[in-house]
This record gives sequence, structure tokens and C-alpha cells, in this order.
Amino acid sequence: MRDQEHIIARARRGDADAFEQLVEAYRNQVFRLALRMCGNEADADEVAQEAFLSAWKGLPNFRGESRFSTWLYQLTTHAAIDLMRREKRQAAAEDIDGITAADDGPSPQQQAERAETRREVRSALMQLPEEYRQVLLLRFMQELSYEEIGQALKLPEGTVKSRLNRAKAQLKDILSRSGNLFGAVSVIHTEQRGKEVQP
Amino acid sequence: MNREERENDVLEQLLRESLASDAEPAEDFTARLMEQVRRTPQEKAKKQPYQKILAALAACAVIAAAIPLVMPRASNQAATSADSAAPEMWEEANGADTADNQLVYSTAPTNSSEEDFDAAGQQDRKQDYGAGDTVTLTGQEAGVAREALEAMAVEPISAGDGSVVYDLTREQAAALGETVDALHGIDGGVTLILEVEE
Repeated sequence: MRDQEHIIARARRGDADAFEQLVEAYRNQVFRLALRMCGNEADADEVAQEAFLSAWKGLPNFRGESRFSTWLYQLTTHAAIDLMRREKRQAAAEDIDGITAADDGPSPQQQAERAETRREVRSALMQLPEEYRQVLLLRFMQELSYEEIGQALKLPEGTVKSRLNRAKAQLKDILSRSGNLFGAVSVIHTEQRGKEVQP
Repeated sequence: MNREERENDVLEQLLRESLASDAEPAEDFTARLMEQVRRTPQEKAKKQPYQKILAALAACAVIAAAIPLVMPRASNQAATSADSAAPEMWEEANGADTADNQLVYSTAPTNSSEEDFDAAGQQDRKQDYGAGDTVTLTGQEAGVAREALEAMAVEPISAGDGSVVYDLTREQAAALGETVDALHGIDGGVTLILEVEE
């Protein structure tokens, strides 16, 4: 942590090599967040580049009031929203699958069902307004606390909580209308039961 | 746990799973980015509010320290400037240098002492009347002026204690200037004080 503070301090003073170390440390997280915001790799690449470039330019004014990663996610979500507004397009519906399921998990059929459910969730996410998608990604993908999301989005913690609740309610509504939420419940319960009976 | 809470938990679990990703950016991502970074200057650090306050306080301190240094000089200059227009002896070019033939000219009352006069100021003093000036004549010239004004049927606005005061229009002052050398060529109305012996 102290090392990273030192690297950030050097980058703030204009040391590009130090900044490169920060890029290497955060490029995957930033790219994945951008990918979930935009829905396709080309846009995600552009957004991630833009976010890092904004970070480089703005580093002299980064005061460390939030974590560096939180600040970076903030720049990423802003860059993604800017891109989508600039290009006047919705987040692409193109689906990029998540992590490959482990081999020792549920049966192939359950895995297939689960994969389908995840695709439906990602599809539903893309139908949400940007501000809802943004808080859900920061919370459930980047695992930021309410306070950190507030710092990233410059919102009071209470607003973050209420926005998250509304986002989840809308997502649930989309999934319920397509029947996927209840499907997901049954898949999860089946898996849990399966795990319980295993020795 | 009720149904709603259970659904909420499921949803959160689903979200985490669905959003998890092992996607990675292109291999040349960092190289492309760093190429741009090395061409892009960083923003200048903005001053923090406390720095702005400190800068303002420092500026106030400098101004406060500078005022005592500047003010005496400024007041001296003002005094000198006023003094150069203060009552003084004015000698006629025609040699009327007697004590009886004096013109006193002032634009503003002043309490400055004669010690405040400097040599340069004295050299610069000259007859230069304008509208609204007060011109005081004494001695012989005051007598000449009074006779001329009586001939012009100009009434004083006050008289007594050895002085007669006239408020002259531009035309009256110009006409008087024909007779009284001290007012020759004057352009504008003046207040004329004649110190006369009754």
C-alpha cells in the first residue's frame, strides 16, 4: 500500500514510468468495468484508454480523498457515459460472457442453465438507465462500499442506497417479466441442495 | 427470511456472478496508452482553498506593510502640490516688485507651512488662473481694480474688515483684465478679493 502511495506520488509529479506501473496494476479491472458499461470490447478499450488518460492528466489534482482505484472507476464510468452519449448509442447488447464455470461445480445441464441466466441478467442490466447500471457495477462488480460509491459518483451515501434499491427493483422487474428471476432462484436452490448432499 | 429478502439475495448473487469477468484488454493496451500519455501534459495542480486563503492573507499583509511606506510620500506630494498653488508673492514682469503690489492666488485652503515649499515648486509657480479661482489683490492694484469695477457697475457680494469680495463672471473678469495686469488674459469667472485700506 505504501509502495503504491509512493508510485502515485511519483506519477503525480509527472513520472510516466510510475504511471505505467499503475496502468499495469489496474488495466484489467478498468477494462472489465468499461466492458460491462459499454457491452463490447471495442468501446471498452476506448473507454479504458480514455479513463487512464484522464487519470494521468488529473493526477496532480488527485488529493487521495478516496482510494486511487475508486477514483479510477469514477473516471471509467464517466468516460463510458460520455462515449455512449457522444456516439448517441445505447450500451451494446452484445454479450461478453463472464468467468468460465469451474469444472467441479454443478452438472453440465445446471451449468448451462446458469450460464443462460447470467446472460439474461447481463442483458437486463443493459436495459437499465446508465445511472442504475453504474451503481450496480460499482457495488456488485467492483465491490465498493456505499461510501466509496458516493465518493466515486459524488453522491450522498443515502442517495447511493436508494439508487441501488431502485436499480435492483427495476432489474428484478425486467427479469421477472421474462421469467428469469424465478428460474435463477430455482437454479441456485438446486445447486445449493446439490452441495449440501455432497460428502 | 421472507420471499422478498430471498429474492434480493438471489439477485445480488446473480449480479456478482453475471458481472464477474476474466476479460482482459488487448496485449498492446498499455503500449498504446503510454504512447499517448507521454505526449500529453498533466494539468497544473489547482490551489487548495487553504492555499488560496493563505495567499490572500499574505497579499493583505504586504499591502498593510506597504501603506505606511507609501502614505507619507503621497501626503508630502499632495502637500507640495497644494503648496505650489498656495498663496505666494507674484512679481510683475514690468518690475512692480514693491510690497504694495501683491497678488495672492489660491485654489484651496492649506495649512502647510512655508517649510514645505521646495525649490522646484517655487520655480514652477506662475500665474495661471482658471474658472472658479480666488484671486486676491492688495495695495495699489487692488485700488485700481476697485475703481475699474465701480466704473463697470459691478457690485461686491460682501465688503468689510478691509476687504471687498466680488464674484466675477467670465466677461467681467476678462474686462477687468484689460485694466488690471494681474488679471490680464484670464479666461473664466473668478472670486476676486480686494484688500483695501478704508
